[in-house]
Amino acid sequence: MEILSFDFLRRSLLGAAIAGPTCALLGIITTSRGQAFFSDSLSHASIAGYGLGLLIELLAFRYFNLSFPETFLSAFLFLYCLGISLCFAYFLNKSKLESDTLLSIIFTGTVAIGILLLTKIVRYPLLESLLFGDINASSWTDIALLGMVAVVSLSFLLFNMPALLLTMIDENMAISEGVEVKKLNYWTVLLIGGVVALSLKLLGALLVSAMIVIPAAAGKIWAWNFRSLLLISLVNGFLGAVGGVILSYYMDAMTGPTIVGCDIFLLLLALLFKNLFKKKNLKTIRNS
Amino acid sequence: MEKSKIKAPEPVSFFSSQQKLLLKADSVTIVYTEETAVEDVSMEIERGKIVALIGPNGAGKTTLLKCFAGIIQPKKGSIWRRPGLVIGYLPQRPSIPRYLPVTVEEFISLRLGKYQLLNGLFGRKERKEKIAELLKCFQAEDLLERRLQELSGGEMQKVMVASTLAKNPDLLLLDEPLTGIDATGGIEFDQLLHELKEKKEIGTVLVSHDLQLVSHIADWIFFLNHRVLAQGKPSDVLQEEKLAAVYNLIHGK
Repeated sequence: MEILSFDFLRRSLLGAAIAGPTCALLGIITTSRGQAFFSDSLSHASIAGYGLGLLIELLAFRYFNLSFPETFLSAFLFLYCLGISLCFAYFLNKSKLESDTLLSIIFTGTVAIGILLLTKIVRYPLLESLLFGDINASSWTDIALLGMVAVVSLSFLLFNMPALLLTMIDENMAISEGVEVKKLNYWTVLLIGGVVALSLKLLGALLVSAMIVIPAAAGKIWAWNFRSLLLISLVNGFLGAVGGVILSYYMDAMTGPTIVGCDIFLLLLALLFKNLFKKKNLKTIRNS
Repeated sequence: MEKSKIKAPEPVSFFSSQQKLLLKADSVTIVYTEETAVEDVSMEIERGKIVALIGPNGAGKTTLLKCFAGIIQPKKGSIWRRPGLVIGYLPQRPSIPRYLPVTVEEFISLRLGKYQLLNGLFGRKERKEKIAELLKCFQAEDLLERRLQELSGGEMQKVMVASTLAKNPDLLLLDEPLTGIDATGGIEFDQLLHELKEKKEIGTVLVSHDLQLVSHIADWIFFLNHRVLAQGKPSDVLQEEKLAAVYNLIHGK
């Protein structure tokens, strides 16, 4: 396997193998609660975070002659995403605007601010890889951090899945049975923030939420019950992400779009098979 | 129903049948951001009694039930629940996500508190039998493997009621449980409620628009329009003149 002989590829493959399934599992929750847009807005807001982090580095260097270690930006971005995701969750609860309106405002606003910062003030040269992902960008520190967040996420999700599932089915019913819905919501949102921040480098800010939404959506097409949904989404997430990294290496293409392409391919495959072999199951859509 | 068995739950009575008391609301006021949904409502719910909440749309019946279930906190007043009370709450229209593949068995084992991700390792057969038995009360045992999103309105409602009974609750809070169930379903349903009340001594709070159902199944009726406008035994409250008077009170304002 010549592909494993490169250090940067080993990092990317490992990153994809961890991030893919974790994102897919989070995706089951967001897509079932009508929050698929949430991870999208979060990843777009990270562009402003990137600009902000670079600005801080620049100012610190110019006025205090401080230079930060390379990991500063990753750490800043991670904390920024956690903070932003909590803000989102808070405002989505409080705001009188429709949630998609609110997210759309944040979405475009933060991209605008981020791009202005990156192009006018800090003059960032790698804008393209920030937006669409880079197979070369993750350091071992990034991968280690991703691994830790993935372990926390997966154990949280699997341990709390019954409570989460009941909340997805009916929030009031869950509360009446003693599920602490608010706490679960904030935790879920925090985990999405962490995972998005750490998957950014691989997929890029514009595409990272595809890895959350698409494998879960494809899983829902295959699944015959909830347990199978979990399993299929995990497999989908893994195949899409790892397959995308491998393909992008051989095709010499950008990583983010290639991973999204693989995910879409798996989704189409699911649709095709469902239509060919299990026509009767399409009846599921009849109830509105 | 023997009349002697029916005891009127008085709004405030500290010494009456403390043993049987499941839940007690003491001048509860619930306020949403701008309007008062429920004002100064007191009631007691006892074991083996069916209490019905009736009243016009938007009268605060659902809100009050949510408050009993612990979903909404009252702004004034207090709710006392018997320690260790198991509540079975049935929301008015459960909002099942349309594309979430969950089978009836999975859903009911969730509400049983016995859902396992690693399915089939321990006691799946017993669990399945218990759920099938539960569904049998509603002639719905064939729904076991079906997915929630495939169910028709009536089937869904049966599954919902069955799941609410799964945990052997002491107190049932049912919000319009008969929506979507046809007439014969209605008859079976009030037999079931009656049985639960007589055999298991379950206390029930029932929100319903179906005055006919309420009139022959409830032990005590509260007529609610934000406040309690009338209460009493069905035969007293549901007299035509009284109802007319109450409705006039609402519309006359």
